[in-house]
Amino acid sequence: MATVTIDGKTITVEDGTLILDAARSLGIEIPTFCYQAKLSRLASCRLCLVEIEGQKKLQPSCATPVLDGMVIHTQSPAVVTARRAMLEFLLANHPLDCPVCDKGGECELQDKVFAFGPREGRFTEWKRTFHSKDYVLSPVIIKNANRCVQCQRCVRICEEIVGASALGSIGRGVKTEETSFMRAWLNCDHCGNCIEVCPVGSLMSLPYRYKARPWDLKEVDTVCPYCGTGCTLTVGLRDGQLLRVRSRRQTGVNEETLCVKGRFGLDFVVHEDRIKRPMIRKNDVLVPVSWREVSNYLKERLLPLKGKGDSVGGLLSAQMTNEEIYTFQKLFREVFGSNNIDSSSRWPVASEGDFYPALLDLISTGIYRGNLREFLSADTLLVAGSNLTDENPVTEYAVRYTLSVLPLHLFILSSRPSRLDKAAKGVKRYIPGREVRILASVLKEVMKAHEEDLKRTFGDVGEVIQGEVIEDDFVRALSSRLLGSRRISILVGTDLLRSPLAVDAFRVISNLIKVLRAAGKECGLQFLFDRSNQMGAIDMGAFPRDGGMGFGSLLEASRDGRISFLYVLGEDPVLNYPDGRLVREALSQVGLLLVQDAFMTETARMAHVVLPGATFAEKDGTFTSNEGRVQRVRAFYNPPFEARRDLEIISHIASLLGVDLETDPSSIFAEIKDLISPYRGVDYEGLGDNGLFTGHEKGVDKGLHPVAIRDVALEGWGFITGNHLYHSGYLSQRSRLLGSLIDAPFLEIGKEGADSLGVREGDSVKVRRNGQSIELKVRVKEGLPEGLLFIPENFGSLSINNLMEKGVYPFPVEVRKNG
Amino acid sequence: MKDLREKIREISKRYPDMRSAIMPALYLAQEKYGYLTREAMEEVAEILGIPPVAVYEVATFYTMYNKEPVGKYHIQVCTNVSCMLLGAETLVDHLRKRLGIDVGETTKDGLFTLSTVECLGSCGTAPVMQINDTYYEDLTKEKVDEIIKTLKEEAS
Ligand code: SF4
Ligand code: SF4
Ligand code: SF4
Ligand code: FES
Ligand code: FES
Repeated sequence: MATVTIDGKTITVEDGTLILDAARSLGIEIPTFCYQAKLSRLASCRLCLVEIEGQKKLQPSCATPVLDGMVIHTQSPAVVTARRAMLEFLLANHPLDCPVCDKGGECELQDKVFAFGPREGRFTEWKRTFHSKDYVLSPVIIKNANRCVQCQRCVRICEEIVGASALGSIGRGVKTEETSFMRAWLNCDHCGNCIEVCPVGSLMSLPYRYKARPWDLKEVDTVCPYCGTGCTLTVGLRDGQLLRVRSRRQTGVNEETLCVKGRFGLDFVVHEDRIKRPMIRKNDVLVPVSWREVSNYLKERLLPLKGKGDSVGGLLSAQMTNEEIYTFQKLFREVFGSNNIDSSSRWPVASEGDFYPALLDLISTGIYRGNLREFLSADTLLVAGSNLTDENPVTEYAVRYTLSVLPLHLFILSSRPSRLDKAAKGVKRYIPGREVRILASVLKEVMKAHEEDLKRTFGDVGEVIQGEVIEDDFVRALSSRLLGSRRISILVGTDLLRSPLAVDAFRVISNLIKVLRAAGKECGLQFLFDRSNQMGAIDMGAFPRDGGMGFGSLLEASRDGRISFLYVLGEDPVLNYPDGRLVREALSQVGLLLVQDAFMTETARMAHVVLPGATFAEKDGTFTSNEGRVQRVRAFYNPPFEARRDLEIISHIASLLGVDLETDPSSIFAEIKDLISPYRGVDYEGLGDNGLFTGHEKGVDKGLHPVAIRDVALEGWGFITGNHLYHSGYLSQRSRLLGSLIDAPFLEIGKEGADSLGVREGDSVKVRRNGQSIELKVRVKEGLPEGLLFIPENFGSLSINNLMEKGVYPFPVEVRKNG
Repeated sequence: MKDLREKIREISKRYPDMRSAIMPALYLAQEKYGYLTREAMEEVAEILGIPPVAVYEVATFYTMYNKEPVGKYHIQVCTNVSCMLLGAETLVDHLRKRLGIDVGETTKDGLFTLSTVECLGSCGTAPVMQINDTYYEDLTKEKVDEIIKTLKEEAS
């Protein structure tokens, strides 16, 4: 510990604390420019200079650690003069074109000059100019190098946090320009984090350009509707129109970062696909009708089904709020008397009857409900079944950051290569289904080393793993690392949910966690769900239980004509359920298919009744992120046309059946809090900027589950699917901006695979199965395992799910070069 | 002759971090292509497995890397303090007249490019110029004439 005096106030801080941070904790504000928490230190702008007694020269407080006994001045005449001089230097070459600069009004240079001077510049020479016209760097970035203050925050965030390394400091001295390789169009992530951290108007958002002044904007804080990482966003509106999205410093899991979907992908809200009015199918055509007419119609059709249990079912999206999911369920369980409810973006390949219990057991055994950053402060991190870079980009940023500041050992077990691989201590590729053998081999190694501890905790465990294990570098390295770690964190990705042997995989992981804990280590997991409220949907119980049917069984029952009412809320199974033909066939046999959605989806086109619902932009409520963090979704739009909020619609349907359901999110949340144990400590009103974490259920430890190792055979080619950075299905599909970054799906193939087919990047190939075929452009991706192909999922234009078949994964196909 | 890739691979083995190998790799590329084209920088980045912009940063920071084509003989005259005090500027003027080009230009026959650079680290023998990889020290106008003459003969 070190005790220092700053401006006459004394404070004791940890050794190594920066003078800047020590001052801040005393409430003393030192101006900075190049300093940015979480980025490497540059100390180039010299704005943060302070005077330390006994040292002749002023020192940069952003890079100087305290020493015991230091006496520091932040307001002495020498400091004030130096600060003013540094600003004068920055202004010497600055164009001072604030009146036409997007940043004007929220510019750090303006603010600092205003606060610390100088009031007049003395520089009368020619100013340096790089260009007379701003140049475009990407579909989202426009650059004005003349305004740049060379703080390099953009360069550092792009490299150190995002990992794209797309920007650099080009040239030297006064001619330094922070820009792309040869000022060329960027082929980067388009995340806009460089824009966010730029203190001046040098890197600017192209979509937002000249749209508003900061003081004209009304800002609303809400949560990203895309993936389960759950980033907080601040949307800026002018005249009621969404103009930009930004993240806020030190807020939420994302702390001033966002990925491209969150920052630029919200324009889906106003897509022309929005359903304007309720519709009823008449003479086989969907005809717009009034709410009154549709209500009468539904009342007549639904009344006889009240309490009819088995013949009705509901499917809802994991992008709905907790309150909607909870109320939807209540409608089914209490009004229809049915437990046939499901919500998923990852339809299990395994049978539903085994899948959910195993998943729930894994959750109650292993889940860590708490801050991701703390979760990552472990000795070892295992990422299993995810291409983090594409699926949960901001989680990936957090991992990259942690790796740069802590001695965290990263291991990646994933079918798809990702940018994070380079930073890992061990990487293992696998064909889905074969992850069980790999994980079981690790488990066996760990069990061998801790036989005594296991006996003490579990008694005689017998043969937990049956079947042949493997010994390779990855298994050896990971096992020995686990044995040497005190704290272990596991991130479980959506690829594992989709594995044909998901149930076994869950059991192995659950066993592994129990074993590591028995060995005296801390171990927990978080999921990498790719839907904003998948965690909430599971917590709310939106899956088949108490004998209910999941969506897979509902489809089969529908095909057999046993389902008289199916209510689909915000999901598009026709497009995304593996085996599109089965879905079409089944849905056409449903007595009454009701689709409630904001957009005219393929499923809505098949419906008997379509109700216009709302997007996240038009509703209030909560999402629960992958961290188990409950956060407020806040409306910033009204539902357009005759659309209504989904909660209102659900309870309207209940009221047609004579049942009153609550529509106020905070009252519903109070009920959730009462009934669902992890939510006990969470108060709707208390959900501030950072949300609140759900708590742990007391898991019942049922000992270890035996697992018999099986493998999945793959002969020839098989494809897997998943998210792309710019595309994750239904919502991104309707974002014009994201659409401009990726306009068509493609086929990823490994280097060797491409050679064996005689195809190269950009060639067109035909992918066939069961008489169905699609054409795709090839992207060669080094590192995909042999035989495995990747096609991003849910592209409306292609219906790749026609090539999928229920119950298998990867999906076997034939591939050949086109023409 | 070994190809560029092989040479860069070999040199990069000496460095723990591939970014440290950028400078020698760029020299090799420059040797091969005469100057650093976009493709040359991309190639270096690809071989070293680092982002192209990192290569570009280094290439633009140092004057030793040519981003434009240069003549067969690249004359770099030091005009920093020691050399300046001992007449570097007169030498530059002399060269301009003698070659009929301005600083930064190349003679029509493609033989000479004239540049001025900062300290070449040989102040003790100022004034100094460097032509390609060779230093010429304690220069006078006469010496310069002699050197140019020799090079012209060598070239023809
Ligand atoms: S948009 Fe993102 S990836 Fe692209 S340069 Fe900026 S920070 Fe880097
Ligand atoms: S572009 Fe912005 S963030 Fe990047 S160096 Fe210049 S002022 Fe700093
Ligand atoms: S990481 Fe996920 S939650 Fe965060 S901005 Fe991107 S899509 Fe949204
Ligand atoms: S903020 Fe400290 S030197 Fe820039
Ligand atoms: S000043 Fe010319 S060599 Fe140093």
